[in-house]
Amino acid sequence: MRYPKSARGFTLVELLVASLVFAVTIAGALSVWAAATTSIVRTSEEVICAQLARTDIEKAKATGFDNLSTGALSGGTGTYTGTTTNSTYVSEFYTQAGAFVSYGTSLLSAPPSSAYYKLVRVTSDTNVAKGAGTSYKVTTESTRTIVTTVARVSDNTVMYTMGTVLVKAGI
Amino acid sequence: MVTALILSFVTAMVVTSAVLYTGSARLNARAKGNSETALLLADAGINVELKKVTDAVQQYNGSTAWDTPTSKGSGSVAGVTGTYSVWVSSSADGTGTWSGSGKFYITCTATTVGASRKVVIQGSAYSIFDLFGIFAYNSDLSGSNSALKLTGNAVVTVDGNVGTNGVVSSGNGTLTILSGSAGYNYNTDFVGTNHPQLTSANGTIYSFNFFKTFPTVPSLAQAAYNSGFAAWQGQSGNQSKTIWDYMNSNFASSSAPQGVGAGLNSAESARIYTWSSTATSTTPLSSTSVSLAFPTANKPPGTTLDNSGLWTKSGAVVNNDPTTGKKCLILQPGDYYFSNVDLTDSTKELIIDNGGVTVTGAKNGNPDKIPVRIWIGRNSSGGNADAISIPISLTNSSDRSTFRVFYATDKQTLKFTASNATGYNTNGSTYQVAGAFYSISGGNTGTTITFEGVGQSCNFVGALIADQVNFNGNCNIVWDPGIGNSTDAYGGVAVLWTGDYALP
Repeated sequence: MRYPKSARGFTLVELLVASLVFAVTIAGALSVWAAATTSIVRTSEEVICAQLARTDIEKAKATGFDNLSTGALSGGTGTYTGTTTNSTYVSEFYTQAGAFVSYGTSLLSAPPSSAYYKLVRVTSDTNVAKGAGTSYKVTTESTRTIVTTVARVSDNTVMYTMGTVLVKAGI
Repeated sequence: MVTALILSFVTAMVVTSAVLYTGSARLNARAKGNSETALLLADAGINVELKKVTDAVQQYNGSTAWDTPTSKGSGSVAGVTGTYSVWVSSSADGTGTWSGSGKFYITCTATTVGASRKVVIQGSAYSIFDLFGIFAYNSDLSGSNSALKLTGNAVVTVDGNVGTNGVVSSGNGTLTILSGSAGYNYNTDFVGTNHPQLTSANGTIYSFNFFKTFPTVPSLAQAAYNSGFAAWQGQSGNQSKTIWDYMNSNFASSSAPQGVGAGLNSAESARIYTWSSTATSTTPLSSTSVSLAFPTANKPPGTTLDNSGLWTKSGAVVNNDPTTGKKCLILQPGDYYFSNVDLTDSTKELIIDNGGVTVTGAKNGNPDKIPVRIWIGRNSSGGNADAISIPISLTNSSDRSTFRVFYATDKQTLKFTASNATGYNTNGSTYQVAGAFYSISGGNTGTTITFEGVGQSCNFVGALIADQVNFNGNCNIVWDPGIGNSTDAYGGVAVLWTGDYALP
């Protein structure tokens, strides 16, 4: 019995070739999709980290030139015209979604289990007036440089670094 | 087969679209973050330049050590990717060289990876008198002899900002800040615990932890007469002479023109007037109702503005105020120098013609705001305290920007005592003075400005800045926001307006 040509089924070879083409396409698509998903996650991380860094700089500006914490200088009195990097770090931990978890007490603070990012702010002051012991005060002559870095806790990858300079009566 | 190919094509298209979208979203997110980084960099550049401008104007010597449109500054923030370029200009579009006076613009462009931002601010330098109603400067005084001192039961109210680098001692008196703020203390916070007499009705009391600097009176005088003083000091025998020597030698002999617009470098006693001898109690004070107090060439040099010597100097013709009956001297706009002051004779009075009503010509009213500036200082700290208790009145008492007293004799006191003032613009029995009094000597001990109440109230409208401020009686201080004058030294720089822009 002969069937019309249009009513014939697929041959085994045709099915195998079609399956192969489809499999290769899906495999490639899945691979690219995985890369896209990684990119989406990375984008989300960058957006969150940029916001965390920017927010922290704004917090520093709101705290103000006079009230930001100072560090320590060793010995002497009078005016120190060099730059000092404060030993006081403000370290904060955040979840992957950018929610605040806790404050750290130093760079070496152990992160909580829910922490995904850590934020480190470093304030560097110039032209400060030395006080008693290792204390010092900022003056109208001082400049205060604020640099905030947001990094992943798991591998210390720096996600964003922002910074600015504050002066008395500045913006 | 065909179906499989179609499915594969559709899948590939969907995946490609998703990848392109996520890639674009990521680039967009990164660009926004970088743009924020650039904006903060631009803010940093603006602040660095603001400090340059502030430092320059506060040197009080015409310094222009800021970046210009033709010589832009640049910088970065350590640890942050990117750089900024910044300059000061006279125009909002970033062009034109700013002279150092009036409003200015700072433009800063910052660039980081893939993003640039521009920030422009408008600022203006403000007067040293625009800051405080009272400022007591000396941080070395302590105990009952502090920088800001109330003696006995003095009741003092201040409508304006109060500040001191040093200690406040209020004794049994009270200091009330009606409005404004009180910044206390460079070294220690005395507010609230040791000094409950310090009260704040509607103001704010706080402490600050930096030393507020002001220029000394000699440095201001030197800046005012910079070219003349430098040339004079360069002459043989003058190398070690002071600004007071210069003023003493040069102010009296000048035959500079009189009146408003004569220029601040021609300060001398030839501008001192008195009431005309023909004036009556109904005669208005004007250019035609006054005459020169020292019409002859025998001008009083920079000497004592005192009870007798100046009034009775050979050749002097000092007439009575026809209304008050007091011997009257009238100081037109311009500068005057006296080595010391002793005005305690109740038969005398002083009229400060800051309104320019006695000036001949079209400039009556002092539209150019030329101030009456009295400089008082001498090299030696000996002698009696300088004192003023006679009525001082202003021809335009509502303009506090055109009367200045600078006092700078180290270890000495300029004492104001309330009196039964019935002068030109006084207010019944209340001693009322308006203007700015400035007394930072730069010496080891400093100067004191004392207000003696003597049972009466003293109303002072203006600004009072001194090494030591002492209230020995009741006093009401009212700071006036209109006190600044373009001839004042700069107290700092204020930001008036800020704008930021994305750059392509």
